[in-house]
Amino acid sequence: MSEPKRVDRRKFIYAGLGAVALIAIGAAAYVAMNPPVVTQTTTVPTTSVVTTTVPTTSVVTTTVSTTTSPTTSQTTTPTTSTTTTYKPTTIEFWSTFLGGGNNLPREQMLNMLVDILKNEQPWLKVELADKPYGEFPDRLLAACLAKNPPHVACSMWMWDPNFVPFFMEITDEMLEKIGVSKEDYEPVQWDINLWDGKLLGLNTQIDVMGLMWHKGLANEAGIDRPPETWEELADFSKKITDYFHNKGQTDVYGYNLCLRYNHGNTIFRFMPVVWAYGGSIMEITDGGEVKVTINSQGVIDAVNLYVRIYQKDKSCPPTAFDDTADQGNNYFMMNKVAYVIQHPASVDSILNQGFPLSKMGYDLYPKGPVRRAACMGGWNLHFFKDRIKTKEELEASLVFAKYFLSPELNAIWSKALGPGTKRALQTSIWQDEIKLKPWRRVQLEMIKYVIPFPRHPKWTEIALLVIPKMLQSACSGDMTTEQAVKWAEEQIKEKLKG
Amino acid sequence: MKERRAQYYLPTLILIFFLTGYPIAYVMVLTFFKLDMLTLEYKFVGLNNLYSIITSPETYITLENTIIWTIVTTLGSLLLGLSCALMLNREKIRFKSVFSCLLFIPYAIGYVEAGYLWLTFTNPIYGIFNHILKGLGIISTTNISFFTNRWTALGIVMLAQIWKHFPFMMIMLLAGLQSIRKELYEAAKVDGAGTLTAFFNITLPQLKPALFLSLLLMLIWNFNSFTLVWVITRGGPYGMTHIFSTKIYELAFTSFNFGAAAAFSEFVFLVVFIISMVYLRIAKIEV
Repeated sequence: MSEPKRVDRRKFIYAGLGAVALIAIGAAAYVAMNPPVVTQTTTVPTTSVVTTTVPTTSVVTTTVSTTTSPTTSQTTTPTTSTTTTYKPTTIEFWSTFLGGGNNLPREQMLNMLVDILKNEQPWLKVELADKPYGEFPDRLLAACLAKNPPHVACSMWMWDPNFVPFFMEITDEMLEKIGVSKEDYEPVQWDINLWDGKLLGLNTQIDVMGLMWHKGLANEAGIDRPPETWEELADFSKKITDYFHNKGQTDVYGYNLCLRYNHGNTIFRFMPVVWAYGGSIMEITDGGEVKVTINSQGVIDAVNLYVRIYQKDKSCPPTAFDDTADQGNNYFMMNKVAYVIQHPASVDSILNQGFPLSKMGYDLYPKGPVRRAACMGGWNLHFFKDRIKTKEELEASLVFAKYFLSPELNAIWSKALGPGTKRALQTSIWQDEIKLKPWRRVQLEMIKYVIPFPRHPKWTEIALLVIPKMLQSACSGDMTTEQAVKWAEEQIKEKLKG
Repeated sequence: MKERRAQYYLPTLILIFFLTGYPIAYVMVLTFFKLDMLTLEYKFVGLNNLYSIITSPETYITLENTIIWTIVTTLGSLLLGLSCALMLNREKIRFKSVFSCLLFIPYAIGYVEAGYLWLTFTNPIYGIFNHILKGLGIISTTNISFFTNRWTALGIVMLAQIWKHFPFMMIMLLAGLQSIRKELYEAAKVDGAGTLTAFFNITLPQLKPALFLSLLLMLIWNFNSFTLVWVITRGGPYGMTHIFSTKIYELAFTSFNFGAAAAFSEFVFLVVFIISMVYLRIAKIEV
């Protein structure tokens, strides 16, 4: 074996000096190309005057009032013009916006936003990072724990306080710079971002669902209206299932029951039933005291409804334990399922895939003996204190948010789910959307029935693991409803103990 | 000469320390702490995390699943891979390259896509799996869901994993088979050895190095695998199809119990380390 060649000391020193010189030249060139200070005039996009009337078309059967969505609006956002001196600043923004489908409006909006910023705010560079929808919270949490979150993120959950320590509090001064206020939002949109009296996010789009129903299947089974109550939904489901099974079509079912373990769809579809029957999982007092209320008649009734649909009537697909709402969409389009709790954007998506409008129904959630209720999802804009370290980064983040939440851009962004600010709803973009797609009004109507999830750090675990396990145990018959609810109560108490 | 060697391996050692040593050490420290997500404060809890893991019945279900999963998927991939490799190694087979490419497809497909593919296959309403079983007379109705029962759900995920991994085994073993000298078979034939005798006395002994290496890799990959279980079942029904990797992920990102997840990870690390050591020792003796 030959001896390794020795490194000549002089050559080594020369090489090191050469590398240092190269770095110095590179740095000088970079500074020369990026002057440290520019003077910039800020102009916020304006909103056009809108005058619209909202028609009702056949897709929506239930009488829907338009209290939330003004039928006639005249809105102008004042053009603000300020001259500010900023250093060139780059901020990182995370969201989900690629891949077409529901992401398309978001992608379009971000492209527009980048173009506008390039022209109007050349000192501000935004690095856009698209993160997969399903993995977004996990990736963001990992980044936060590693103290390397983005400066700003638009995230799609509204019920997880585990991110609280990472969010920057949005002060009145910041709100003023962004150009939004409490009055721009529905109370529930604003309150959902409050934690301990501090504002930690700004809603960019609200997400409230409705009941999508297959008029073709329902009509054939002799049903010509959407179910008014959850009991009626179970009745209609059974009627449709029996009708088609008797005809030999044993793969047609009534309701898309989502029971998938560790999946958000399950809890988002179960909680409205619980609330409709007057139940709740846990209640948190103003003093922060938590009372576990799951073992109550309302929850037992709600679980019994699920047991009836799954076990007794067998009026949901046998894949319910693994089903999500997306699977429900597939079944719906294949004429295999009649009722799916879905976002209005899914109605768009299904119709775009050639599903006939004449067979599409979209109405309010059924109500229970106590009330009609809905969960609220949606997306929020957050600022991260571990990343926004300098005054420039804060200014850049606020300017970015100002554009992001400007009525027109927010209207484009929020078209994928539901309106963000009230001013976005009043733009011609949203009003045209409502005119063109009347099922959007169902969503606006449902906002007043929204009940927020309990805000507790253990809620995610309870919602994704305990509740689905309780439902699966009851539906499979491994436990009676009472046993399953009791088991869940013990589990929740155990988890709250930490 | 000896003292200068440090300049060659020190940078690598430093790199390894930061990339591997630091995370492992961090996970070990995390085992003794509980992270309060609201205040981001680490609270020392001693051995509580380990204790809660050891006393939880879910741990033993997960352990049982992981052992079954690792053995079945590794052996399944081995048998299928070896069969295909033997088939492709035959001289008289036609369209060998076409078959090789087709058989390699599952390995080329992404894990998430493969997961959704198997969800589609096994869907009782529009999937093909039920129809095949019905055609074979194994079931009488097409409306059977495999994901309502622990064992059928685990069975489907294991099948998907075997399907996904056998091409790797096949390619490795095919390379091993092609390196065996043909003279050995010719000599055996002259001595009157049959196909089976040749297989057990020539093919298998000659294949040992490739076999041991691929088995070790497959064992570790299967033990650590995550994606297919996560995509297909997410640990359901009732959290009964978790294997270690999915359970750790659930503990960390659904329960936000990073200490318990760290304790679980250490346990897995220890198991993989022991298996690898024992296996390498055996392989060293055998090969």
